[in-house]
Amino acid sequence: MSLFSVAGWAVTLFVPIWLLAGIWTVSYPVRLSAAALTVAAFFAIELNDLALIGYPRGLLSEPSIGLVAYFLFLLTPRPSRHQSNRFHYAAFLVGILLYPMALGLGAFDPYALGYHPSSALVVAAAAAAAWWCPGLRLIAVWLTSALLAHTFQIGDSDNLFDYILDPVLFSLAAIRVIRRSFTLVVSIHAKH
Amino acid sequence: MRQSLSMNRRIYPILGCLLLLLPVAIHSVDLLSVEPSAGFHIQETDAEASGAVFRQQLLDAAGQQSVHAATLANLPGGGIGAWWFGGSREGGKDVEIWFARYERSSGRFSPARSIMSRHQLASDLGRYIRKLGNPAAFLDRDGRLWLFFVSVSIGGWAGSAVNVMTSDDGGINWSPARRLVTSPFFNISTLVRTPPVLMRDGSLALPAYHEFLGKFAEIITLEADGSIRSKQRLTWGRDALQPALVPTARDQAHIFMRYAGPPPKRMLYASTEDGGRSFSKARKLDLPNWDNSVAAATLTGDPHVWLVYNSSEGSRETLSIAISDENPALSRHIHDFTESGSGGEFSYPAIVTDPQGFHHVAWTHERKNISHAVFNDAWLLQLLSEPAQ
Repeated sequence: MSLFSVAGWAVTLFVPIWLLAGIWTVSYPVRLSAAALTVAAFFAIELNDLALIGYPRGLLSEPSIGLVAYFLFLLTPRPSRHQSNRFHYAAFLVGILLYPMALGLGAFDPYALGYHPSSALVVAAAAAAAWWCPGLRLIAVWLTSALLAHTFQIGDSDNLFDYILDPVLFSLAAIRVIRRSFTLVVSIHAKH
Repeated sequence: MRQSLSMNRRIYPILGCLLLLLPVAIHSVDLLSVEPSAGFHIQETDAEASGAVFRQQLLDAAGQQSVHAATLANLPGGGIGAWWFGGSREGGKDVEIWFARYERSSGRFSPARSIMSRHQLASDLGRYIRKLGNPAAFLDRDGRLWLFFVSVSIGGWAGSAVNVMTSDDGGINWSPARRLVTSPFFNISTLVRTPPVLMRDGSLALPAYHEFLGKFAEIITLEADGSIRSKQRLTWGRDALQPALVPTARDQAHIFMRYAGPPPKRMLYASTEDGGRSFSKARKLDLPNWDNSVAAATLTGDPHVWLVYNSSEGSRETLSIAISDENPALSRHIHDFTESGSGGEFSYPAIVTDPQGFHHVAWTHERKNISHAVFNDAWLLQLLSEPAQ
């Protein structure tokens, strides 16, 4: 299990527990303890000679840098809703273009592009542009960290897309985009 | 205060772009060094001139109730290795990958031994593994054995991932297995069945296939260190599985695929004339294929392609050989390993040609054993000279 996998899964488990615990208590020590103990349990407790973390790893593969970056962003004191919304739209757009075709819809496989160095240059250009737009900082951090992680091969995958996006992040983004679109449609109808 | 905000606005983009410089430099160098396919490596054999030779035997199933999906590879220092999966039933949690060694001197296989279980794989990967599936073995030109095999953590075979391990001592000891990441969707739905082909630059072209939302064939190109260089889709839709790749020249190779679509059930075929950079559109041949795995090879020192396939309509009871004259798409049936009407299953053939020019074929024998046949070009050509059946 690589260091990236350990760190990625630690963040992926920690943040949802931290946020969920916030529903019941405002006490930081309690939330911290709950999240840290959950993470520790997943790595320390074994079931059938396999650490508990092996079960979500078997089912969900590895979290992407995108998911880790997003969860860390949610830990910041006042995560910007605008940054978050734009990030959701971007992740949703990448996923909706990637997954159906990668799973066999049509002859073109966009995932195969993730092995080619030219994709890294395209992502670098997009990240550079995002850095100069203050409203796209989360997207800039996301793309830059994914590109660095892929370049230095800190995970199992040789494909850039596995660092950018994973199905869990795509699902979160899709839920937020759909919910936001629904709210928008309802509010337009209410005005009329 | 304003000055400080203005500085912040400028410093983050500058720092961000500086961070991007290194990946851009590294990938730019990679981009300049990307070379078109070097073409296929053509195996040379030291074929012994002799009369027609044909022998057949059953391998010991090591007490397993169900065995299936054998693969063959040359072993360093001579001999042939056979690997298959076996357990109480296909997809059972007790299924393991088994290995036996064929010694040319004795003409027999060693007793089979298990080389991989789902518990061992879970330990190697640190992931839950539910079951093991198809193996595909290969000996590279440095004498290293590669064993690719399928595993599933959740669901059926559509939830498969491909794993690889290597051996530098002829299959006695193996490296810990590692998982190839070949799909963005939980890394599921990639399977292997047939062995990779060596390219002239030392990379491996691994035939693979998907069977989740679509059923389609791919070639995954691996560097000599096992990392993935590229992936190429051969077909799309819901009807192509288990591609078997057979090179006949530096720039030419043929692909025969299991057909999983609606009738008429015929073997799927595609080819490349540019060393694997592009492939023709897959089309149906005249040869029957009732959703069965196919194996293909060439005669020694001769680009004529021959195939082992199920020739029976609607069953896996007749396992046959077909051979081509010039055009592999025009292969004709010349022999049955098994007779029709037996009602048994004889399927999932695998082929390897040893350095002495003998062809070895292994297949599933009623799920109870693995059958092995060894023969030479003279035997095949003798069949070819007989009137068409």
